[in-house]
Amino acid sequence: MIKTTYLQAFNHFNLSVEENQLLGVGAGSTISFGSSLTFYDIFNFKDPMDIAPTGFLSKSGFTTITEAVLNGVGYFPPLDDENFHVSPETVQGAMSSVTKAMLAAILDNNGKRSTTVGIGSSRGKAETVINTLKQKTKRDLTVAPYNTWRDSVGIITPTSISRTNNVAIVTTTPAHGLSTAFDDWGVVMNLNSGIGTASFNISTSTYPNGVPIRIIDSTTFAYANIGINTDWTNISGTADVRVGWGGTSINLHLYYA
Amino acid sequence: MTFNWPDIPFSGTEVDAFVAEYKIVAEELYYNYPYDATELGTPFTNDLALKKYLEFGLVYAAFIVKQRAGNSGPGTDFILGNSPLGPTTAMDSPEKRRNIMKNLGCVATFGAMNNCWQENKEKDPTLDPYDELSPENEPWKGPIQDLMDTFSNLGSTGGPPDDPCDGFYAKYENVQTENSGLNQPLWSAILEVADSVLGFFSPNGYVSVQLLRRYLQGTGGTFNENSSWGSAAPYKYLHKVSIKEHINYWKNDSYAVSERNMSETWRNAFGLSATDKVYQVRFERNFLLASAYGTATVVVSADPKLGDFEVKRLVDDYDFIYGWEIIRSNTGIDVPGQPFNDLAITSGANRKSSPNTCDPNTTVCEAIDREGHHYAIRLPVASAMGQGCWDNWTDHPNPNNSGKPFTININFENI
Repeated sequence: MIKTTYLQAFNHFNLSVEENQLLGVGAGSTISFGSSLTFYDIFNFKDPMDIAPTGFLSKSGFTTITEAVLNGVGYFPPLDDENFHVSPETVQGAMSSVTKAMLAAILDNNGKRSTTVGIGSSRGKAETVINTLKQKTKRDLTVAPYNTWRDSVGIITPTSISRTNNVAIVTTTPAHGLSTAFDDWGVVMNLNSGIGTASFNISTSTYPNGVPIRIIDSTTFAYANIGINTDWTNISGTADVRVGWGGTSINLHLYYA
Repeated sequence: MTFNWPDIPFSGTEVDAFVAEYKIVAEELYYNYPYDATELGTPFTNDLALKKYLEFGLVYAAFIVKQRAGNSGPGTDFILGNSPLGPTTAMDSPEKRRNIMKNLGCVATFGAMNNCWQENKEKDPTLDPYDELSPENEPWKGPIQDLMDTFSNLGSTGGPPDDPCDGFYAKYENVQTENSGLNQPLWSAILEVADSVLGFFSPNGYVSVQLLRRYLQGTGGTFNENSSWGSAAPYKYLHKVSIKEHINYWKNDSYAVSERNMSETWRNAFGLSATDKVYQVRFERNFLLASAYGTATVVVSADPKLGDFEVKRLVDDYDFIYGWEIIRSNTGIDVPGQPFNDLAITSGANRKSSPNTCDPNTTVCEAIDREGHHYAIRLPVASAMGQGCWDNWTDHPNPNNSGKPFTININFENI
């Protein structure tokens, strides 16, 4: 009888959980040192754009009546409870949500691109953490972090788009101007003309702070977008630029040795 | 109960400052801040679970700060942990096998094994001859499981559904209709499951479910120490102790525990002695007590700040803003905890366009949407009343099946 404890979930983040699913690519790799094998991954959150907390995240759907009932009655067990344990993905997701909340509360600039501890009382910061973790209908959207977290940081103009293997590639005119020194850019695509452009749009009800993008060059970026393969199409509309989680360094890794 | 902070295997000016502040904020949040646990997303409602997230999350948060600080290069990468997979000799002795199984998180207790059985059998129920949850053996378990799965899947992309009208309520109605001929209403079956889940964690869970059951049964009247406590009946003393512990922990926080100066009329109505103290107690940080009472008035034998005390009485009105409410004048003895006339029951505030104006078109979903917590509990309450709004409970076309608020007046002195 094997039971995956919360310690397994906390201490052994698996690459597939924390990979950037929205981009459809993982940052993890395997490298060999002599006879041993090491996995590494750039650490980021499963949802690298938003700050709203996750709920139950069982990867294979809600296959257990236990987890479904717990969700239904709104109660969560102590993590070391032997009878009502929940999936490692849920535990990891919940910890990621708390981590985000603490970063946003403690650091300047809502926790974005900052390493500086912000001013303010510990009580005020605790309030921010709790506001972050509230159910949607209970959040105070007029205070941190929700009052500014999803703010736009600019508009860029897409002029053509294509889709291959569920990855959309966008060209912009003029150049998008997004710095490759950061790995936390995202967009809310809002195209209004061109064949089939609606399927490229990003709904803010599903992705309140947009979806992450991968910068290809000064006039091109990509984002995960499920749909049929589509040749290059001229388009008009906007790409509303957002900032999510990440940093300026991509050369530090979590190692699983 | 203090935090068990992990070691941070890296340092630096920025990360050291961050780690220090992280610990201060976490301790303020956990030990001093009386937030309402019932308002949080489900994975954060349990205090002990939240504490673990805060403890383990420190390493990851600190690593992100370390990444951003740009202190790159060999030696600053973060080795998270060792793989649970060992070399081929790892299981060549019983002791090694025990160790590796332990390290993998295997727990061979009855509870753990039962849990594994519960989970594994669902993957292929046709091979499970003992499936107590199968629709064949218990006609209500199947629909509930179906219902819960529907609810859960709605939230699979990021938490519970924001709008219960979006699929779940339709499913609830379908299940209710499909099973309308069976021997108990859907809400009763849901409460059976809730009883087994919430009661497992604490007797306060049983109390919470029993109060809801009384509301949905339409019993009305007064819930007191001699009423039917359902599964909570053997645990009245533990329940009393929990209330005392909550007050004792939060006694110095005027938001959570605030003294009230009640009138002589009030004190006489509830039989207080001259030395008894009265407090308004918010149970928000205790999820199960909060589910039962929210905020209640509690009579204790002495000032908790000055020494030991006993919980003598708890009074409250049990009603819902998305179901039925009891209107109180709060003058004389017309206060929560005292008997009331059925004419004082009216549809809750969520069904009114203004305090005194019923909106007869209010749907169940609209009533729920504005307030409340766990959908599986809220839906039966709102659904019992159905669509509409009534100034008086007796005006409802089927009042006895629409739920009914009641008053709580528990005398703990002989418990």
